[in-house]
Amino acid sequence: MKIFNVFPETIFSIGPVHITDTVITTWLVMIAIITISYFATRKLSVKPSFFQEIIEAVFEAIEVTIKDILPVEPWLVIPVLGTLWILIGFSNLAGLIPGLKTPTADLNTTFAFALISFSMTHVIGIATQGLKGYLMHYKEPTWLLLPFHLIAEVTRTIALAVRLFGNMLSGDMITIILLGIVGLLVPVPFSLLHIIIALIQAYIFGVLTLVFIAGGIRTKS
Amino acid sequence: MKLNIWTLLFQIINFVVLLFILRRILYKPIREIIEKRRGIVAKTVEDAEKTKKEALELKEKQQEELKKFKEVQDRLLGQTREEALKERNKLLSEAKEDAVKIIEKEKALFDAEKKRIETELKTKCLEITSIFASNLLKDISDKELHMAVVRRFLKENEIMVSDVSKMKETAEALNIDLVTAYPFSMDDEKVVRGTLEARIAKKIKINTTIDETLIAGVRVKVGDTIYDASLAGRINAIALKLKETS
Repeated sequence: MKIFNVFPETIFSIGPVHITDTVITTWLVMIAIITISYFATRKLSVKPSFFQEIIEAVFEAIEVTIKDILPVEPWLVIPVLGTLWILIGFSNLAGLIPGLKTPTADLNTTFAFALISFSMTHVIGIATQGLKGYLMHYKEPTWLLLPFHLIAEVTRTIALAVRLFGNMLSGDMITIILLGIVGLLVPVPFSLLHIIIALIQAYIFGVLTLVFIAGGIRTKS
Repeated sequence: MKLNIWTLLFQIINFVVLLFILRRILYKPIREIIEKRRGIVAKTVEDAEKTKKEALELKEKQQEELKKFKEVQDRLLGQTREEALKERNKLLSEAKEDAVKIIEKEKALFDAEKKRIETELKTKCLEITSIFASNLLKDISDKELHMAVVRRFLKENEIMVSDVSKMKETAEALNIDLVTAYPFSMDDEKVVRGTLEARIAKKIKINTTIDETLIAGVRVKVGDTIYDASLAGRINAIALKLKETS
């Protein structure tokens, strides 16, 4: 039953470096994203084509969302946050293609993204209000809550990683189990549901990151 | 499921690589195009606002100019009206003056005419009166009356006497032309001559002519001077006197 394995496998190794199928799938996803982006931005003009309008609408939606939550210039965080969204979204959907494994169903991947989110929170917090100003928010409302702040930093990051991982893995597993039990075509409705879940999870990951960043900034204002 | 540090590392590297690539090929161009459009929109809006403002300013200016123009127009109209009124008044007063002058002139003419008619009337009246008087006197006149008038002349002829005495007449006898209303009898002539010679103390030569229009009495011509002692002459004298006094 090798074919139904949802867990990552090492495809090849270069010395001590083990390259898993997760990483390879991610590369494929990246190539897809870069290709689409390249063709999407080749013929930009002031009077947008239909395709350009869709892309712009997406970016303006991102901009509005960030503006609502963050009191800083949106384009400061759009590249990082946008990349997170796009990469997670595409990765979540990658599993729907036969023969590919969902990269985000690998805890290593989600943990990597969670670490990026975690570091981004602090980097932007420090960048916008200085190291001292940023650290001051840990003593709000009193010093007594400092340990809880620190615990929250760790737990929410882990929660971020595990939430995405759990959702994606469960989706894959349901599909495989159903496929094993009932057979072809039956998992299709669940796969459709999985598309929605994939997009929602990507959105949640990004918005939570945004909220954490905002939490690091808002305390000052 | 186990943690694979290499996978984790690769995924982080993947993310960073993708981030940098997307920054270049996706975010930057899209941001540029969005901002460019916003810039154009903002500029268009700004231009529109500017144009609107300019239009408003222009409108305001125009209205102001129109107002000024109206003011000038009103002023000019007022001036013209005032001038016209002045001119009218002037014309009116001139006309009045002219009228007064004309009236005065007419009045003067009228007065003159009136005076002339009055004078004429008076003259006519006097003429009629004198003719009437003459006729009346002619009717009652007779030799007796004539002689009475002559006798009076013989008594009251101081003027003639004094005039004659002043004359440097070298001739022996003084020539006297005597016009009488009735022919003198010889006696009468003698009386007249005697009396006159006595008065003048000079010899006289009398040339007698008869003129009935004298009514009664005589008219004496000595040299160039005529002394009228006839009733006709008296009536004429009175008429003349009346004419002069009126």
